[in-house]
Amino acid sequence: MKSKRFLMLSTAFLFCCFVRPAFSGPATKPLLPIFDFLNDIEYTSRFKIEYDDNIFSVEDRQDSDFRQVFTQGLSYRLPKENYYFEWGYTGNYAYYDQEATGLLGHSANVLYSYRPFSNVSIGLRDDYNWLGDSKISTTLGDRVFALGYIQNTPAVEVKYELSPSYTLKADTYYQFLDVVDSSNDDFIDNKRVGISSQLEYNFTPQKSLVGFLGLGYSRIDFSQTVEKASTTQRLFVGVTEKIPGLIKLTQEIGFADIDMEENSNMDDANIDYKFSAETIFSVYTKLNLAINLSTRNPSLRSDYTQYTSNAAVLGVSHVISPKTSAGLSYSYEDQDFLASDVLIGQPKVHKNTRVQGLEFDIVRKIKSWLTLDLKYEYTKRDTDFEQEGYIDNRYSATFTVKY
Amino acid sequence: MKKNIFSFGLLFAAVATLIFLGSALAQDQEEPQRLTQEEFAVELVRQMRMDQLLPTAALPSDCVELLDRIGIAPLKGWNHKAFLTREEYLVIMAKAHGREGIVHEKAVSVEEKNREVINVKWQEAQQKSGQWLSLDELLNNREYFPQGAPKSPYGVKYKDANGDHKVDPLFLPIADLIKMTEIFSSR
Repeated sequence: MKSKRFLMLSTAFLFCCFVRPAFSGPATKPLLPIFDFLNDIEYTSRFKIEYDDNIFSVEDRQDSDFRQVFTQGLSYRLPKENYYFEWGYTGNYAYYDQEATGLLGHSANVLYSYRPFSNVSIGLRDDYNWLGDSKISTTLGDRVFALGYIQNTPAVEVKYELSPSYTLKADTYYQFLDVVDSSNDDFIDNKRVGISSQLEYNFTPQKSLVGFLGLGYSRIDFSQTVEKASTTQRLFVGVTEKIPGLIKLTQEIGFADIDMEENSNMDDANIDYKFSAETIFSVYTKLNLAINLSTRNPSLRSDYTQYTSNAAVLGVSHVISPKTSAGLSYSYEDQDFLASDVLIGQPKVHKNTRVQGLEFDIVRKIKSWLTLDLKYEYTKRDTDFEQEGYIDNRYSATFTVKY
Repeated sequence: MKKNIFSFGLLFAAVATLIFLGSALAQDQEEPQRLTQEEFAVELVRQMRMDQLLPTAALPSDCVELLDRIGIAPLKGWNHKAFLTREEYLVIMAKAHGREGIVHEKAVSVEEKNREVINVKWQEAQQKSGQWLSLDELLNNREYFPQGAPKSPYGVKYKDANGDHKVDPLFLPIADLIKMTEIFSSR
């Protein structure tokens, strides 16, 4: 009898303490942590309808199609006094009308940042992407693929402010790329690992002039072939200059020493230059320009070890009204495939690719929970590689619901 | 015996009350905790729910950088380790609420008023002494500026480069740019 009564009372107690508050009004804080957790998750649903006049990104531009993409997203953020935790997931399903093809994609990320002292911070993050096997094209590095892939990038970063003038930064990452179609992935599947450290020196208390010096190491290994593996050591030095409330400028010069694993491939020494400028005068308007010159990247092609990239991006964004904003950006990239970087047994030819992109979008907040995004995207790819040049126009309307 | 216990009890209550009141008074007189600019930036980033825009390992200076990049900064720019003043707090909060136009409008009118006051005092000094003082001499002269020289809200040093004994009009590209962007907005 006593035990029955105890059971009844304890059930009633548990109900009153944990379950009931979870279903009551918003003012009552649920005691069971799971309900708190579920309340803190942000749910996003997105429906996008897009017209693409060159769906397979091919030269003859034969196939145009309407695409509907449904995306479901979840994100959880936990900002605390000395740590920050975040995870997110988005899953999307794209359906192509004419082709009657469906394409599934998933991406997830997790981030944990911990600040044990005011001048020390440690951060861990992981980004994961999965795209189902399909004949719809995706751009990765120097190639346009019609393949699904899995990509995972865990990274660690540590920062230590030694004094108001000196800050030390170290980061490391690992990147894994695996194409789903095993018959087409010989020169694509790769694993990259990188580590770099950087020392910053602030010349002024306003940090309006900051100099930095660093050393980076990176290595790429192709899973299916050994002949393209390489190791890069890069010494970099730069300066960031800020005119308070007006503009921020950054310049960096890198001296890279590239060592090809296979003795028959030529080692390389390279100097690259980066410049970026962004306005900081307004909450409403932003202009930015980024120029990266002479950057050496590993190639995902079967005939080249690496290529040189010269790229520039120019963008402007403006908040027209509290509910409407617009953005315009133009990008240009010149990819040079030098005869000296041709793999053994391939014809020693110098090839070139030029990619131009233009993007314009208007975002309108219709309700506090509903946003409409109208976008136009233009891509033009001129290349010496056969059957790879194309022009593509995309027009899309996206409705996003947050709840 | 009972009387003794009662007396001790009374004494204990009196001492406890004194300690309580004393500590309460001491708390009242304690200076409010002052925040450095970067400590305030950390709080503001958290309140604005922008933590996800920070780098993987973020220090307080990264919060300042983030706010600066989106156009939220005191008029003189951020000074990371300096204490936040009331004026800077007001400017930052106004900008965070999208009122940057008003902030610059007020700051420009203060700049114009400062120039006007300095020019009048300069003229007065010349009439009084029969000779022109240098601008630095004038600004440091307690007779004309007993509270100290007027300070530019943008932290700009007043100059007379052309020697006409009038403070040079300031070129304020930020204020002009804000005016220009507002033409394309309906805020």
